[in-house]
This record gives sequence, C-alpha cells and structure tokens, in this order.
Amino acid sequence: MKRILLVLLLTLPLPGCVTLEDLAAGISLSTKSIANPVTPADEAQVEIALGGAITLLQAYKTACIEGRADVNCRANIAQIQPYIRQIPPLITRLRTFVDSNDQINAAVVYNTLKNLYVDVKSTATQLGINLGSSTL
Amino acid sequence: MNPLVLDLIIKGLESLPTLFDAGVNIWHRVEEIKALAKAEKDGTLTKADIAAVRAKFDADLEDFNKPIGP
Repeated sequence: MKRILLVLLLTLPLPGCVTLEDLAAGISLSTKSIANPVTPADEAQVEIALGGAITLLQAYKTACIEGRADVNCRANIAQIQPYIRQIPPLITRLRTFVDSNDQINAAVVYNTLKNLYVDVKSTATQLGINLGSSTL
Repeated sequence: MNPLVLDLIIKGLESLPTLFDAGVNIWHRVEEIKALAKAEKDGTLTKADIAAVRAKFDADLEDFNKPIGP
C-alpha cells in the first residue's frame, strides 16, 4: 500500500508524464492477491479523491452564478445535482460500515459509489463538463 | 489495500489533471492524501484526522447540492 501511494504521490504533480492508466496497471498488479480490509484511512482517502470531482462541479456552479459559464449552466447543474445528492447518505453508510469493520456491506456501498461516479461523469461529459479524461 | 478502495480512489483522482488544467491548486489535496498515508503508516492517525476529512467532504457536498436558484 505504501509503495502504491508513493507512486501516486510522486506522479500526481506531473500529470503529463504518467497516465492514470499506467498507474492503474501498476496498482492492479500490486494488489491482485491482497484482500485487506477497508480502514477509516482508506475511506478518508476515497473522500479526498472524490472531492476533486466535487471541487470541479463547485467551480462550475460558482462560475455559473457569477455569469462566467455557458448559457445552459443552470439546467446542467440541475441535471447533475440529483446524482450528487445520492452521495451523502451513501457516504454515511460507508463510514458506519468501515468504522464497524463490516467489510461486506462496505464493499456493496463502495460499488454503488463507483457506479454513481461513473453516472455523474457520463452525465457531466454529455453536458460538456469535463471531470477528467482518463477511462479506467 | 482493498482493490475496491483503490478503484474509487483512482476514479476520484482522475479529476486531478482537469483541476490542474483549470488552474485549481491540487497540492493541498495531494498533501492531505500523503499525510493520511504517513500517519497510518506511523500509527499516529487519530479519529480527529479522519473526522476532519469527513467534515470537509460533507461541506463540499452540501455546498454543491444547494439549489442554484433562478
């Protein structure tokens, strides 16, 4: 895990040098046979990572309110918000499962969050909002 | 680390290059992930550290989810 994070941290400030696909390939190879439990620290890192997408959406919303975004921005945000509003209750459940070491239910919520993220990204892309270009 | 967790982290991190391109400073976010990993490795991670990350994420979500108005 430490090696994986080190690779991530060393490469993040230089996004043009190593693709996320490269990182994913390395991570996949490194973790294939590991079935570690989800720790609160793991879950917190997920929240920081997903927070990047929320930051982008918030920047778009701010630009929209200030009149610096496209003419359809209010409608676009209204289309994305129903997805994002599904996240808080899922995160609450995830935290509970992680804190109580309920790994099976934590995995179910993780998968739900992953699918939700894919839906958000897909919808945002259709609306012309870029939440990241890599596909994993 | 659990592969499910890694997958979610990766999916979240994929927004970082776009943040970078948009001129958003991603250094703080990277530092947060680094500090969490280091504290976990050193065994110094506290419930308060976790709570701080959770509170920040909750605040960001709440902020975006507020109605945008007419």
